[in-house]
Amino acid sequence: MLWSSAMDGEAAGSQKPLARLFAYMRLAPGAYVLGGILTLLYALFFQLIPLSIRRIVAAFENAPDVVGRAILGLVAASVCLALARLFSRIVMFNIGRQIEFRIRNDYFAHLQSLPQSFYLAHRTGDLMSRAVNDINSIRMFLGMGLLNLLQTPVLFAGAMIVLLPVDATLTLWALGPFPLFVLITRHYSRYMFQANLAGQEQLGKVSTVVQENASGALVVKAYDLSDLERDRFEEQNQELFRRMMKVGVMQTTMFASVGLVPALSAAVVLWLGGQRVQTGLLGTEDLWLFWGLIGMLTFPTMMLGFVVSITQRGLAALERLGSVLDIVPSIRDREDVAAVSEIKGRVEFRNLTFTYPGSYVPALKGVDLTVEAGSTVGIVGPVGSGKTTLVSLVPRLLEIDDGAILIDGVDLNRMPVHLLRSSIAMVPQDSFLFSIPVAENIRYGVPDAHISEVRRAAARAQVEREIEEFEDGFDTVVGERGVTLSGGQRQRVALARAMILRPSILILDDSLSSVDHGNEEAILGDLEGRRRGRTCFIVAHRISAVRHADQIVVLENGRITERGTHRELVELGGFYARLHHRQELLSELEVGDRDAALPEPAAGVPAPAAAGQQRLPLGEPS
Amino acid sequence: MSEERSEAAQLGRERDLGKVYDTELIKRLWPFMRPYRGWIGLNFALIPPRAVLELMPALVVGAALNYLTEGVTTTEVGWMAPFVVPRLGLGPLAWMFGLVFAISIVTLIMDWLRAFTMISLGQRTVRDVRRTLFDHVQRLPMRFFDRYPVGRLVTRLTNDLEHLAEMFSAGVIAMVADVFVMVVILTMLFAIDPRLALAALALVPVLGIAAAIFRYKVREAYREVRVKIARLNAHLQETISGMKVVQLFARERRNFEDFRRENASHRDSWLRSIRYDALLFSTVDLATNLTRALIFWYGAEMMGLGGITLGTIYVFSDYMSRFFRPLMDLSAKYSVMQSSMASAERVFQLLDEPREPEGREAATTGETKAVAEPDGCEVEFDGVTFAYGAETVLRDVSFRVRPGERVAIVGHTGSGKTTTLKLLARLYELQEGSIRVDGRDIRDIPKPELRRRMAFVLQDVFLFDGDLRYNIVLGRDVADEVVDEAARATHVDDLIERLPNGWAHKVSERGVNFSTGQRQLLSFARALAREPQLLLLDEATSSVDTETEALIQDALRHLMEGKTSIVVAHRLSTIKDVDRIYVFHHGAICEHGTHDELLDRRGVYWRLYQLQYAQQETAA
Repeated sequence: MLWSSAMDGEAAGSQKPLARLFAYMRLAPGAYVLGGILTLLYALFFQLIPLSIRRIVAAFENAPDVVGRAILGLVAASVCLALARLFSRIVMFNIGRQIEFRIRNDYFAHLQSLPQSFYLAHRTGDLMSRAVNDINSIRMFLGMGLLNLLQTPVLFAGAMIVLLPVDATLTLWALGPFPLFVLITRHYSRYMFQANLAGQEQLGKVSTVVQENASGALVVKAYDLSDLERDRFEEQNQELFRRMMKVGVMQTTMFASVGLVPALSAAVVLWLGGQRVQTGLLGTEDLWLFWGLIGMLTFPTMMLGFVVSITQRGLAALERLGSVLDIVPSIRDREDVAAVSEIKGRVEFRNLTFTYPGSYVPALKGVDLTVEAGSTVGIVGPVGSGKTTLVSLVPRLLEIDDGAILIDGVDLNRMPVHLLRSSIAMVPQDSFLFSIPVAENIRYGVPDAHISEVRRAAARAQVEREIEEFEDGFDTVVGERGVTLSGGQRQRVALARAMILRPSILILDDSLSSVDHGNEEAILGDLEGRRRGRTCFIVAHRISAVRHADQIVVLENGRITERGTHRELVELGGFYARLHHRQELLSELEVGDRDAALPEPAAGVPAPAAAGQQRLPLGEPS
Repeated sequence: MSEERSEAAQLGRERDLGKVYDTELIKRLWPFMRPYRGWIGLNFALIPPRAVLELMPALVVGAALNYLTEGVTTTEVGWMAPFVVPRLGLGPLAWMFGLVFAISIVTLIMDWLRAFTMISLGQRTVRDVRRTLFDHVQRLPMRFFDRYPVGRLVTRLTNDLEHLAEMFSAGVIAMVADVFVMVVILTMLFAIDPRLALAALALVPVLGIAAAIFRYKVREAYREVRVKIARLNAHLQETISGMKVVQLFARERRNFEDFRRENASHRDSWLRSIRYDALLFSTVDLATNLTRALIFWYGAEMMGLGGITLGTIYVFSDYMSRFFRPLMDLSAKYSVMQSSMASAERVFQLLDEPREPEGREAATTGETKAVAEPDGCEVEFDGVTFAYGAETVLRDVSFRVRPGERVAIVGHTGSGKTTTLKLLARLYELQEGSIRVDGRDIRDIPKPELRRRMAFVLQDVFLFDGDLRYNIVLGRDVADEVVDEAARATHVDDLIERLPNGWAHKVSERGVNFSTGQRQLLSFARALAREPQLLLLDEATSSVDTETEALIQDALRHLMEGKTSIVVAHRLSTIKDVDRIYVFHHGAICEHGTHDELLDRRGVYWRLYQLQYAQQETAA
């Protein structure tokens, strides 16, 4: 349900949740056979305990000399039961964990294969909740759920087999309530899950208020809204309290009342059974047998009702997870994949039009552009004009829907994905770094690179000295779990990550925006020197980054509106010329180096179409 | 997304935690529980009768067994007398059935009451902590919000507090009750037959040692599991956030191998904990059954000598299984307590964050000068210096705005313009110099009073979840005429007319359904409805279509009318309208004067003008 309808079209070959489950279970048939045998053994020994107690009691009354042997029987049965219980629990629960392990692996691997358009349509939080909550529900069902579903009926049948021959009427009186008991717990737990859901929903509302309050802290303070906000929060807080109380009371009532059934059964056995003992139909030892089995069946029966709900939830979770797992990755090697072993780097865009899923306005309209192998193209244009989209299509992060891109004359869609991506080094706009050591971040694309190569790449990205100043140097963990880097440092590490590669195509998507002027010059100079034989795409806001390019294109509203060399475009007197003029003025103001980059929409996010012209950062004419 | 990542990272640090019971934390929690000590009292009061009651049915059954085997009725019945001597004209068996039935009902009621009191206590306490925590968070300074991710705050107020509630429903008090039952059982056993009691307890030391070992192992395993699942989820989250990089650098296979390894290690920790858990369960089970055998064996020995009955043996075997039972869910309770304590600690850490400073001691609620100064108030910056952390944003800024004057602040991005407004609203505490409003240092004016006099229009318009009217009045009691007037002056009325529900139109998800221009107009109306003496306006930089632009300019004129206005200006029309312009450069005022004066000077303003405003002129 949470999955947008946009995904429906991609879903194919969807599996029913049970079929999916069986597919996983088939991976380890041995464990299930073993689990089944252990369960049967457990059920057998389970009955032996009250049976041997009956023997002891009978011996007490009739044959004191065999008491010792009877007690030894109980000891043996106890040991066997304990062992059967130990191993059946371990085996069954392990199965659950093994399947959880596989499902999580599959989920992870699958996510890695999905295109960026999927990530634009799904929030990280949603995908995480799949991984955390749904996998949890599935595992609960597979562990406790499956164990009980298998075991309890067997235990119950065993008890019937043992008790019916002893006294059929009393058996019905004593065990009759148990199935009812299952129905009651099931009924209860269904309501409980509903109440629980209502509680979780309210918890969501509470988080929304907190989130809103914290994000709007400035307004809350400036407009002195604290009291008002407190009341608003308190309303939700009270409602949460009420709902949580409801869950609690239901749970309480259920647990308290389920204890009543076995107690009544035992009392009935006392009364009716007692009468039968008095009339000589039964011996006291038979009463022990009844009590013993009633006592032992109580807990598993109680769980069974619970387990029914757990099963339902588990299957629903499996279905939700399945809706992601069933999406066929659109970006993968096709059957008609071209036999290419090397990419030289000639890139040709042919009448390329691209629309983001869910958007009506194309982000790129009829783009025609040829970039010769080894040449450099500069791309400029206002925010939201399609620059990022254009360069993101080259490494096939997005699926082309109209028009084509040819690389060395081969249709991009026929290029082997792995070859394509390992021939391209791209520095995306947001310079995302992982929470791992700096060195690991830099050699992300070539994990086996020697530290000297890492250092060289860092030096070329003008970040080596700063990294060395960190406490652990190149071993310093960056990101949330370690050192927080400044925007410029992050960008330069991301640059180093691309520079360590030897790609045929290098794409810099506004990758120098937070880098100060001096470093920018050094980096550009370095690239200049090494760019021979390498195709370069440079998306930039600053003229300085593109002025030496072989050709420069201006993108406006998804179309190429100007193209030529720096000199040609300045003479043309269009967007580029205005941009150039402004930046000349800006450098006169000598403040350029102090400026932090203005925030831009996250990479790849289509600009809202309705807003018309976007924010107007300095350095860009309208 | 980074917030979520840091949350996961935070979880990763949990390996340092793991206390099961922390007196310090309970002490801090106590003030929240105190109002509900009645519930605690009731719960504790119920523990002894409930414990005694739990042991009654076995006595009745034991008595019944004796009655059935030996026909014991009156004399030598000892402890079982009350159960065997029939009353109410019932036969002995019917009487005993009635007894068990009645005991079960009473037990049910008591169980219900006990659980209910605990849940009430837990939920009420947590509700109160939540209320206090929210109020506390609201009083934290802006600096706090600048560095503390919103996602983490949400977790503190939701998940962490839910964990805390679990402590009540499945925590300490339940353990106390368990221990009490064990004590009562021991007492009863020794009262009934000390020799048999000693025999029955023979396995307790062995089981005790085994349980202690398993408990330790299980606890370790659970802790490991928690750390590993946190790491695993952090890895997953980071991969999702950085999926583009993963795919660009063709790292999928390697990344999957890493994930698989972590996932396997997580699974293995679970397998370990399953093993210990199963061992604990089976051991308790085995001990129970072996103890039964022991009781039968010793009972048989004694029976030969007389003085022990089958009923007594039944009672002993029933009691011993109850005696061992609490050991079974000990490990589950342990892990609940562990996570509750960790959550409580995080919650209290947040409660320890220092609040926003209030007015200085001299602060008085003195009458506002609203009446005395109908045209607005006087504002004076005197040598103000301010830094966010290490970065100095304002250096020795001084200026004065007389009542009713309109002043613009212009300058390059990062030159300290917006900060000036924020300092005036006392959203941050300044480090040097002072700011005076009507001659009083703002630190001497209680914040609510200071802020009531001003309206601050922020660059990013923040709309709340609620209807349009709510977003204009922001919960204050504002007369309809005032709201209507504000809407008319800012052209919001046109907008409202076009909406099907008018004023009652729901603003969803922070106003995504309104355009930038509409949002600006709404924020103007919000400011006007406040009837401020001082207007602080941080003009939005985003450009809008010409029609809306005209509306905004007109609304602005109304907005600034009759009040002191300080505007961080981006619009040419605004700067041309004001009485004076202050040009900020690198956090200091470098020029000031009227538009024409400054243009004549051909200084920073002139160049800024070329850069930022000249085009607007040609466009206009």
